[in-house]
Amino acid sequence: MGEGMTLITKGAEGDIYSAKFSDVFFQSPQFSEVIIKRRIPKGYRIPELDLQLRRQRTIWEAKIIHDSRAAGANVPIILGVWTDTCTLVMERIEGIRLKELLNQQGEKDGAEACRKAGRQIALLHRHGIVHGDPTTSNMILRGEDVHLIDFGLAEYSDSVEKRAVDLHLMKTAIKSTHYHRFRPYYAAAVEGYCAEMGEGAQAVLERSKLIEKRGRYVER
Amino acid sequence: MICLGIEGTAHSLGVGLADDSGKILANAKREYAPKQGGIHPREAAQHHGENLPELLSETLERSNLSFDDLGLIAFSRGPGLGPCLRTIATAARALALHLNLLLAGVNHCIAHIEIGKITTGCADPVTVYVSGGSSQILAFVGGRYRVFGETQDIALGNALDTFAREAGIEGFPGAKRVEQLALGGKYVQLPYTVKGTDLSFSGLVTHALELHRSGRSLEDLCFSIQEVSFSMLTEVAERALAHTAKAELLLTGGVAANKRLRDMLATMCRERPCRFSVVPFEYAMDNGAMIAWNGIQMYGAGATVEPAESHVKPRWRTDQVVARWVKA
Repeated sequence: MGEGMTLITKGAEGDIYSAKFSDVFFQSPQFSEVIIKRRIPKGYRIPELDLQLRRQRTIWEAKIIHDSRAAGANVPIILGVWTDTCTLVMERIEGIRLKELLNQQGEKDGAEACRKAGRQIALLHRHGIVHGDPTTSNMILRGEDVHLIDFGLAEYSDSVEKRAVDLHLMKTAIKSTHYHRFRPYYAAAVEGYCAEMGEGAQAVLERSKLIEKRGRYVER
Repeated sequence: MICLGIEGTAHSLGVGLADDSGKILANAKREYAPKQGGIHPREAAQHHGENLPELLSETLERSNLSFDDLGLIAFSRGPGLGPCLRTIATAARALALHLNLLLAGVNHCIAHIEIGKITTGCADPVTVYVSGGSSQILAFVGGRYRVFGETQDIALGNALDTFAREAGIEGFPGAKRVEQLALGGKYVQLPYTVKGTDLSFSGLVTHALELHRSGRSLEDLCFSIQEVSFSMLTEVAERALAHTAKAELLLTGGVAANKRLRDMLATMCRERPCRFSVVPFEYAMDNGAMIAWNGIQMYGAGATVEPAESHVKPRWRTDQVVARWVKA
């Protein structure tokens, strides 16, 4: 690995490269482009903590993405895991990030995308997974479907609290970046979430309101 | 025009003078230090009430100014401890009414960012504001300082102080002692809790105290608490930089005094790369000058307040303020 890799972004967590599947593995009729996510050492952390976090998160992410896919969620296919270099290779989701889509497209399309995103989050929750970082940078519309990426902070949990944190984070992301249409977008996301989640949704919504109040300095 | 700013949200009482060019003419303070335990809100308020008259006249005298030279009164309206806020708000209202001046009610967190911008020359930073009462990652988006991440329970400074106090380390604030003890420590695994862009420190303190009771050395625990909590904060700061695509990071608040935290953030910024500034210590701690300067800015934006409507806001959120004075 190494040849033909193009750096796409330096994320907060790691470097994301695109590469040809055949450069990483072998000739394949199914995949042409792949994404390589490499958790590079962070110089600010002491080496023990750094390696602990990078290795743990790499393995974790591969496992959770795989299980999310098995649950029927739209997520990349995991193609390879390297624990020594803390590297994941996965399918490339070609499309537009919701972060851009919500700012560029009309309110109707934006709301529809939020509804689908809410559904995807609920689908994970129903199968015992929380995403941990469901910002609009981590959602991609490909064709008709919203895909979730970056499971770096995801975990296995059925806790109402953790589900509510997911919802709260999605709300914060929409509010902080897409404040002009925050209300309709968040309403659509909640609608999608409730439709997929069913009766469990109410408890999560209530808890997310509590979490919001728990943030320091909220006027009550 | 000269603005007199009074700060008194927690244990520090500050009086500052700033003019409309952004020049700081004075920045004096007195601190309430509890004999034992943490801050007692009523005692802190009494401290502020007793010390303010003298601090006011002293500050003016030393700057060769009198009350007649003032053009505006500003006070920290919130967030903070209710009794403290009410004490200095009463003083600010009395001054404004007596001197027939306009009154500006300043948001303490925003004042920290604004004094940081003017003293470091940052234009549009992601701000890491960490003190005994606050831990927030902030950025200006769409007319307001928005909160990109914050603690879900206790503030970082509070976590360090609490650990120190509960572990029997002498001195207030304890965070400073933790920093000294950390120099001789080795790494012990502690819970690392980042929820997206939000943080949690209380579990870290609880776990470290458990290890302390089971005999782990204080040096190791102080070292590890710092390494874990500062890494968490640095991770979220980097996340906020990536999300907002901003190119400057500003560190402020009392915990900015910690060298290890500054080093960590500086390293992250160098690796990104992004410009890193630390607010000078005098202005990173709670201070009156920041209140005076933000008061000037608010006045410029027509955002003064009638004394009759100037009730304090103990839980005032940063993102509730429309920062009209900021040129986006």
